Amino acid sequence: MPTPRTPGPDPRRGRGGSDPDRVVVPLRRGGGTGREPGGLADARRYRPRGRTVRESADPADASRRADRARSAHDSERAEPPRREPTESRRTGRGGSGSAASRGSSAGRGSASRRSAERAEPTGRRGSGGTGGRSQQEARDRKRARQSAERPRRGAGRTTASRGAKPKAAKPKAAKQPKPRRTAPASGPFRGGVVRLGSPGRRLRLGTVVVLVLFTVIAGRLVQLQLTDAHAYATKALQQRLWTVPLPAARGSILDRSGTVLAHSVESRYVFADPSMINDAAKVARQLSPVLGVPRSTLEKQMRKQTLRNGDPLRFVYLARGVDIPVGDRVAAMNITGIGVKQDERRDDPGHDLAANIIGSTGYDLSGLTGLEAEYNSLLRGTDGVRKYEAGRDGVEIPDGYHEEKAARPGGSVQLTLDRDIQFEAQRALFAKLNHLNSDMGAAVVLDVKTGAVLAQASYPTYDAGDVGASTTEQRTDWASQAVVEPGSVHKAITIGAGLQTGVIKPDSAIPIKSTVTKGDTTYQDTHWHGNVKITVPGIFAYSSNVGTIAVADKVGAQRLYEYQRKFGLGAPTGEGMPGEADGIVRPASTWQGADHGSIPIGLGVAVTPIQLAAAYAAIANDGEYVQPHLIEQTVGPDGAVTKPKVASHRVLSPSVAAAERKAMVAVTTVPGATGLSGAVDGYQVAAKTGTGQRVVNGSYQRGNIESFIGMAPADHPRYVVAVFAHTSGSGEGANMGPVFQQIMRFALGHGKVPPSGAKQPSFRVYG
Amino acid sequence: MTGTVSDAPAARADASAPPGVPGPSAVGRLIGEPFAALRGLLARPLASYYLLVASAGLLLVIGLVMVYSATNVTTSDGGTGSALAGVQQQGLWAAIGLAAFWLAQRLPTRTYRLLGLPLLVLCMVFALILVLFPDLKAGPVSTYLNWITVGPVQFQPAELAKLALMWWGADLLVRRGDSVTRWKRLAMPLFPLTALLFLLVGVHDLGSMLCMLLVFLGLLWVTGVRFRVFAGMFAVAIAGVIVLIADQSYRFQRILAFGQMARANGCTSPDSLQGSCWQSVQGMYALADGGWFGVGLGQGRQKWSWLPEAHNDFIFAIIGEELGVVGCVVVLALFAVLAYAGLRIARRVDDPFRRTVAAACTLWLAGQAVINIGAVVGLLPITGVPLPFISAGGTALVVTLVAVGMLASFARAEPDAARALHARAPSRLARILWAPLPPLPAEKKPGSSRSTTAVRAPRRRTAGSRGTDPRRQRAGTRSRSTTRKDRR
Repeated sequence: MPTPRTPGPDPRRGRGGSDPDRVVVPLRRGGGTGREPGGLADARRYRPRGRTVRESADPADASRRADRARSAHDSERAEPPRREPTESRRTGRGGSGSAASRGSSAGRGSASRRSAERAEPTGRRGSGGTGGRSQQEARDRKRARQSAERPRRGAGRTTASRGAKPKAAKPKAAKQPKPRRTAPASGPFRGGVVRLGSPGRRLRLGTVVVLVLFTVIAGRLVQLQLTDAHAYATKALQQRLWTVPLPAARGSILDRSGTVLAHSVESRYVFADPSMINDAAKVARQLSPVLGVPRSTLEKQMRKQTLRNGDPLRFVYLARGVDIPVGDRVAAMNITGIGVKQDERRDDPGHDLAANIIGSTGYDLSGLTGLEAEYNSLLRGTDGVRKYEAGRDGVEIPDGYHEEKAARPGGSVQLTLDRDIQFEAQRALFAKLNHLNSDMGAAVVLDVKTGAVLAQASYPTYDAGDVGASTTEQRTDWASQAVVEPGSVHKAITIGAGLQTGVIKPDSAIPIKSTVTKGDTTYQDTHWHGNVKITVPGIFAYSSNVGTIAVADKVGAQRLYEYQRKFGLGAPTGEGMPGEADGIVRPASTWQGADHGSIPIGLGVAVTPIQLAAAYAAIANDGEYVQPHLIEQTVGPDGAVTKPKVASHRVLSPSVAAAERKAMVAVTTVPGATGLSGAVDGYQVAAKTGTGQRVVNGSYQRGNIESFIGMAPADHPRYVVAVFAHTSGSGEGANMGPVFQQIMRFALGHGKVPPSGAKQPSFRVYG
Repeated sequence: MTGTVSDAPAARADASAPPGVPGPSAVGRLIGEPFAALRGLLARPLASYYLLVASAGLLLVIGLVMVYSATNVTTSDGGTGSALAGVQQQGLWAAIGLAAFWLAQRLPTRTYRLLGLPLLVLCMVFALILVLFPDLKAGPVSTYLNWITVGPVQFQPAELAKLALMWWGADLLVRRGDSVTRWKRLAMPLFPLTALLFLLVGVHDLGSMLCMLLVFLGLLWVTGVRFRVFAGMFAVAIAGVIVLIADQSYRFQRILAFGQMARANGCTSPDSLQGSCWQSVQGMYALADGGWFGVGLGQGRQKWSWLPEAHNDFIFAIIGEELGVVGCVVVLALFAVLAYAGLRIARRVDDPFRRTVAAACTLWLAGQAVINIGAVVGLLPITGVPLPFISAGGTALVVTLVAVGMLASFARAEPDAARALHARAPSRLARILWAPLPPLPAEKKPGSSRSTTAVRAPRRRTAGSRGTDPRRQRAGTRSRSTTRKDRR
């Protein structure tokens, strides 16, 4: 702050004289303004003159008052009524009513007026009771005395402040207004007149204040950037970042020809915000025909509810997975509180077609049962994610942060199933079992050469599109999960073992008695006979227990057990179904007593239909066991094709297998044989019937497990069909014969297998 | 703004300079030679005028740009509206405002003085209608809270009321002259009528009421009313605001929000974000996003429906986000220049009415800017006051430009400016197309320097017009010279 270098009149004093604020200053500081340097002398001079000026007339003051009087006259035009009392009071006290005399009387008039003015705003002294004129005058006089005294007190302070002036006189903007601000309230002025502030000073003060405010704001902006900005910006970004999962389209499950068995389709879900719906009945009436949901159900769903935390229920699904046009129609209705959003739906075009194999998915489309569960990770794919900056309403901000990881759609699973054969298998099975009031059944069609499962039907079944309505029994794949005593169908394994081990020849005639006793059990045949020699075809045709046990005796327990295992019993086939059962095959060391009689004929051993079908397929495939498989290939998201490894091993020599097949043809040809109902016109069918039992909860189920397994054409088999079912009857697999026949005939026709044309061989049953 | 801050000492030095001796001014001594050019520019007779028009014009342009930036995403949202819808409307209002500016610059003070009372009465009638029928629909006329819609035109009478109060109040106070030292002369009928106006407007629109309060305070301030009056009014105002806050609970919420903002991290927790803190916090986010240099014009993120009233009360946050601290400081500087220019005009004009109106007007605009920006940067509670020139809003913009036009005419009427303009002798066409010549100040006493007159004149004028000085006297300079002669 440089001090004024040029000597000259003190700016403060200089201005004091010309300052409009200080019109009264002459009263205080006299005419000395600007002419003499300030100081004590000034203050001293001030006192008497202050009084005199007020009482009588300072020339300048008087002329100003004269001006005022003139102007007052002029302004009366502007506000005549308001002006009147003031004027009259003033002039009246001055002792003259004429405008001309105002000039002379103004001194006194103004003095008294100022007293009055002082009284009004400062204290309530004058306002209490403005009594008569004489009282008023007396008060005025008294006040005049007081005011005469007051400056004396104030003068000291004025002097003091003046003494300090050279310092304060520095042109310092910020401090400048200070003395002025305090002035009106401080000593000398209390007794003086009320003055108006100087517009100039006030404007300058105003300028400074406004500029300071703007500077403070600018400072605040800078401070914000220096301190909190980073944290705020981070939070702001977090707030704006929207993370949208990009659901990967779930892969499809296809049949062997690539036809869709299960796939995902884009759909819509319709939801309601009950808190926004006032007339649920009306909305339900509108939506019901479109969604195909009963009105009452909708109305109940849209009922206003309060959650446990006290909030109103804001979301409820009205319909999931509805078709896009339906969603569009609902959206077009534009009902308040009803919304439509994108959904994905698992669609099974075949409904119950292979439903037990395919399985089901949950609301989030993850597999819950069947192959959907087994291959879930492959089918599901990898969800993508999109992260982007967006407005509060979700609109993406262009040029904002954007990160997108595309979803990898799920792979596909192609099954070996042939949907036509599958359909026929399910149809035939259902027709029969429904008629028989059965509670479970299964049918398997295998391609002999490849081990491919062409059909794997279960009864009962369900609509894969409506999983919620199904029961556990309906969803079970009995073909791989039913563990049953196979009964006589097991005899093919015993005989095969006998033929392969050479203990019997295909043309052997085995001497048997009418019964045989093993342990505490006596076994006999259904076709009564005495002591005869029975041929191998005879054993098959009449399902001779005694004959089979005789062969098994020759084979021996250990070797029979080994052949059981070779034929694939006692271990899951690994065809691809989850939860496939092991079956129960007991090592020979654990056999005792009746086991030596029951196990060869398929009791005391437990298998799954697929295991036995695979075992028969080994016979059909010239003795080569090929692992049955349900999965043709899996196609990864990148198109990589993976085929499952199919294990195979030799069980029988081709000639033995051919011989056994030939012998098994007797089952469908020999008069009175057990499997006549399974014969297929034009084809040689090698088959075997069986009657077993199933243990449920530790005890045998009432009724039997009837089975019928066969292959055709017998001389050059293409297909193995195995039918198992729990029935109440006791017929030796005869009930399943027609089912087998229908499925086999269809499969042969579907596979364009020409009829062999060969004559049906004739068999000798008893040698 | 170094030049403007040092203004007060400069003027003071001028005042102290011996009459007739130009001499080196205190500015030179104070801030040195490097600022000689600035000093020279500021000393030019039309400096106030150019400062005013330039700052107001730039603010208007910035405002249009920012309104476009803030509205183009929301108006085009969902493809339903045009991205230009917001700025087209604002541009139309700006065009109307420029016409109003042109007109206001031409009008003599007489017109303003005459307009005051009728306009005030009209505004009070409108405000009364709005209070009585806050949601009225009658034919082409409809009302909603602060707005009256007549056919396609929608306007806010509260905005007009600012002008009305300013003109009427200034006219009244100037006519009363020094007699306003008496309480009654000051208060009647100014105080009750103003209070009534405040009540009528404040029912729905606290923000406009605050602006009017600024106008009112500006009037009293420049009139020179004693500080204790301000103290008293301050108490009354606090009480009034408390009543209004209690009346509308959302205002209370805003105050609470401000309180929370003040406390560390109060408004940044997820819970508080949803409530009344939302706007404050989103504004802070915008400022923080912008950083020092901004994310770029049009690139703001918070305007994507995060920040409520991004085009209106919180447009400064968008400026902060898109143009950064630099842009904010530019806007602040422009407002500061405007305030400086307006108050400089008030100091230099020699007509008390012009001085009073100019001061009230400038304090109103600057104060409104401070209230608005202060709320955005978290220094003040949110009151719903738009940012002059910049916020979207038709009536407000027109009224602001009328005020600036009026200030411009006052700037031309500064004695020095008037002389310079007369000396320049613009063509008749220019006078018709732009503005008429201002009245020449009465010839000054020989020997006194120009600058001295310019600064001294108002003071001396007041000195001479103490008491019941009529306006005719005040308008002229006769009494002033007389006074001075007498004095000397």
